[in-house]
Amino acid sequence: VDENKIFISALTSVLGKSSLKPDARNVLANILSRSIFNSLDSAQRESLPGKIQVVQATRESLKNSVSDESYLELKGSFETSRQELNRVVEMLGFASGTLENDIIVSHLKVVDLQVSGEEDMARLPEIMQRYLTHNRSFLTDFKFIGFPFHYFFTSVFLLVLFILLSLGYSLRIERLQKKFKILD
Amino acid sequence: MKKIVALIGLGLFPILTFAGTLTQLEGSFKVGPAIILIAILTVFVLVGIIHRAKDTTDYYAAGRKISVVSSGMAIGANWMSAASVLGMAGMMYATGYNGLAYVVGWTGGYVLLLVLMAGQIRKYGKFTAPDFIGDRYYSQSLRGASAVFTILISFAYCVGQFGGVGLMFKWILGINYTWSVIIGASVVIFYTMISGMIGATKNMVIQYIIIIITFLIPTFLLTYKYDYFWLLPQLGYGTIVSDIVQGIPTPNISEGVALVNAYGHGFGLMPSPEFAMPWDPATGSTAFQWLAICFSLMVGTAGLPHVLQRFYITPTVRDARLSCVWGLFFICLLYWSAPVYSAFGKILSAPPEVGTLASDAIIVYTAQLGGIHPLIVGLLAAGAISAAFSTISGLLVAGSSAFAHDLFVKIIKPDATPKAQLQVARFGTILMGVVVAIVALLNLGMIAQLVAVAFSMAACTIFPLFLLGIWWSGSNKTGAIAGLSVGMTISLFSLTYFIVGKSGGSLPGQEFITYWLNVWYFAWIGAPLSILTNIVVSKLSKPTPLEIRKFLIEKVHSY
Repeated sequence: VDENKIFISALTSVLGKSSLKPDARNVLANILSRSIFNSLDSAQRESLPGKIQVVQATRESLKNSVSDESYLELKGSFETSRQELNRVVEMLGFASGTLENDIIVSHLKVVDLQVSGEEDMARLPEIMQRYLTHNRSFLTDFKFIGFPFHYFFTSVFLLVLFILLSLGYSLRIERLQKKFKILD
Repeated sequence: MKKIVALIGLGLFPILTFAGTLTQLEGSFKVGPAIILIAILTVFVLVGIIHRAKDTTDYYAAGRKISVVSSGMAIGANWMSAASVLGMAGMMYATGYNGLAYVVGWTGGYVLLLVLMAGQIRKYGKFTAPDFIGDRYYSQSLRGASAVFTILISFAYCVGQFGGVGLMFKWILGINYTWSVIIGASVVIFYTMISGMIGATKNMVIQYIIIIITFLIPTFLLTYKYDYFWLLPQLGYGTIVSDIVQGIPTPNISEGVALVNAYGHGFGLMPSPEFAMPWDPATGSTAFQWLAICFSLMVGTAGLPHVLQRFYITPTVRDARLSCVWGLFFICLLYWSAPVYSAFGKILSAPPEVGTLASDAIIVYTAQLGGIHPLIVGLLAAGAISAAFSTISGLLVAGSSAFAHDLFVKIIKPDATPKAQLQVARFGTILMGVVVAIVALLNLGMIAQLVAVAFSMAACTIFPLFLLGIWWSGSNKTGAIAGLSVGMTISLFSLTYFIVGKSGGSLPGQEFITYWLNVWYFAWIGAPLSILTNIVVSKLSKPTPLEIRKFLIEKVHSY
């Protein structure tokens, strides 16, 4: 169970990124759901698909009723059904109310354990490498007025530099024109 | 000291419960924003009527009497399109540090413009970009070709603006895309048609003020509300970037009630270094692409006809230079602030139920998710519409003057009277505006995306002609034609692969060409090759005539 928990934790660390591409998210959600199903005892495993389907159905209804009067009622049903799933995930060691628990609940889907998940597993190393490898150095780790230094340099300082270069150039040209008595 | 506030609710993230309404633009009539929108549209039309163009100098060059700061604001507004206002933050939200390549490229281009061209263009003192090319290379065919390029580039760029206009009109007035385009196009064509460059420029000053105020207010409110350094949000958001990199711990839970975490937020965020790390593998972009985009946008900016044309409007050469500095400053005000939205967008969309924000209007979604008052969010839309209008009017003037001045007067009917010239210019504005509106109504996604090609195409065609035309008297007509042909060939090659790729097809080496000669950055090789060809062919062919060398000394460089 511990190994499975660590594995699920690793999956949530990538599933929690909003930059995740939809196809990669789908693959990870499949693997995550499979791992969750495998971690449960048979009784829980049997009841889980129903709970997931309720959450998915209320989520869809909620999306389609943003301006309806039924919205508040649906919102309540959605939260209640989500809590059911929160409790199931909590039993696997992910405390209810934590970000991990929430990410798992948001990505849970019904999977058929009879069907092999090898195709998804084959893609896992490449996806994890792509989203967990970063180009870091002292320039990115060093903080400057709250920014990672390289980010400050590019997004703030370079623009200041461009303005100063332009201003310096204009003033220098003006000075040279005055010096050599050149009129516009 | 971070505030600890109990968040009442069943779950951790109260924002989730109504996220659905905040991450989409609901098309319904909104009274407050609608009044503001109608008021600014009325002002644009009135300014156009008050500043009616009396002659062609007014129509093409605003009478050459625009002051330095006003010209700077006009440069800023002319440059800041709906894409800049609505989409820039979205680019950084989706691709993190890679989006900064656009910020650096689009601002660095103005340094090139200033140092290499602004003063010389004003000194030369005619009306359009093709004017200079035709005179400098003593060639009517080059004048005609560059006029056609100007029209094509302005056309593609203009069509793209209507997507933003449609989106914002629909959101504020609740009308559909067709009516949005018809109303928007009618207003902008009307005031540009009667007032030309002078009315467009006066409006651009007003539009810049609207754009920048509406864009900045939510950044102050967001940083204040979320307890970041709010006095200067352009620096205050640095901590948010670091928070995104390191992740934000989940809020505390006490007896089923979610409290805010040590950061003062009601939500958590997984560590996401890909948001800020350079050319991160997760974004699928490389260092080469970052640099190629930067270079292409810098050079392309310095070659865009509607940008070059802005330097004809100041009274003196000195004013042209200083207006470029002011213009750059005014543009930077927006570009310093756009990442504030992307960073807030990232943390406010962190809860899984909010999901990834759509990039079409990320500043609006971020302001909505951040709980900014709907009227202020509505002002953002007014700013976006102003941005679209200012760019469209600048493009209409550039396109119509290329048509009326360079094609009609200079090539077809050189003896046209000033009155006839003005009439043709107005007809050109209506013609171009109507054709653009019709194409925009067809809503062809492909045309809107062609704006991507405008920068690299300008960098490979118009920029080399100006660069060598101004700075090397040895560049002659034959060299210019050869250089332009190389630039055009590379542009068409890349464009063909782009169109085929977007249509779902594939040509030999599709992946290779899409990577190395992408429409956004093929100028990394196209511009140097065009310049090199121009130099080599000029060296091998008949030297530049003496009168052109004199023209350069007397009309472009001397004082």
